[in-house]
Amino acid sequence: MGYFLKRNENDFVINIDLNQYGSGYNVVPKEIDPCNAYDIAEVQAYAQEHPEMEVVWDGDKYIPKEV
Amino acid sequence: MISKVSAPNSVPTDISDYVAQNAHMMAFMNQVNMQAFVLTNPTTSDKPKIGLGSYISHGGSLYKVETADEDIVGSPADGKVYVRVTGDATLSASFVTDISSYNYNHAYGTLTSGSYTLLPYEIRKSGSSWLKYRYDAVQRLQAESLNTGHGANELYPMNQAVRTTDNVSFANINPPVDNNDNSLPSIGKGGFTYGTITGSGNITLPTGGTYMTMGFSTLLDVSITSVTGRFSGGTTLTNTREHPVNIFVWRIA
Repeated sequence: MGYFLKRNENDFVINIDLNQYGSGYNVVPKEIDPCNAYDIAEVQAYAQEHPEMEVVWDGDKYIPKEV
Repeated sequence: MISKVSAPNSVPTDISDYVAQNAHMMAFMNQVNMQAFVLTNPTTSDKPKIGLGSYISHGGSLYKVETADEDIVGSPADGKVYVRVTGDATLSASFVTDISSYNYNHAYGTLTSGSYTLLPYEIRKSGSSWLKYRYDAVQRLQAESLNTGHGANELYPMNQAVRTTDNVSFANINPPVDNNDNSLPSIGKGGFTYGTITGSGNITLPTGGTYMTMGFSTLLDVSITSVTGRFSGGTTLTNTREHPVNIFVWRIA
């Protein structure tokens, strides 16, 4: 799932390209997006296990969020 | 142990022949619910009754609809509807929608629940439309193919109506969604839509997945790079020009 952006507990962007604004795949619960390719629970678990992969946008590129 | 039901002599000679006849009659009674369709209007969508002259097996006894078609009591909600009977000297019939308490009764060859016997029919009710089907207690039919008049075809999993008038939804193929403002609607993978952005304004992509966008100035003959590209769902795109922008949005993943 690579680098990820956490908007809130039920809204993640995964597979982020650090140099491209808005890159990646938006994962939300299937009740909201029935054809979403990912299970939100799996992404939540991944985010919890890999806090070092969480990023934020600094206005120019994505940078790892300080853990 | 499976025992042979004694057959009577073709010309009864003693009481054992009459006992054997009764045994055969009871056996046939237990099969009577699988006779030809007993509901009225089997091929139309009219509300059914139980047809005059029909036989019904209930609790090991045989009943016959006499005098007139028998009304089925009740006003069930739309959906799957079933017919049950109960009684002793005479039977009453009523609609039922929840048959979760019914179990197959091997002695009677029917689904029963308490004093009720379920007739082997399933009705699909939608408003004033009552489509009637025979209901097999087994609920599963296995065959290599099925021919309903369009050749022998294989059936694959399906969980939605797919008539030309239905709004279908697929994991990889989705229809376009009409839109013409700054609030983009949800679209499925493969679907697309259209939006507008004011000069120096923003637009937020629909939730979920990944999108490809192309934005063009309404006044200048140019594309706007700040709103053109590949973006994740929920991303807010900013029009860096002072002129309004028209944006095409495809969901690609």
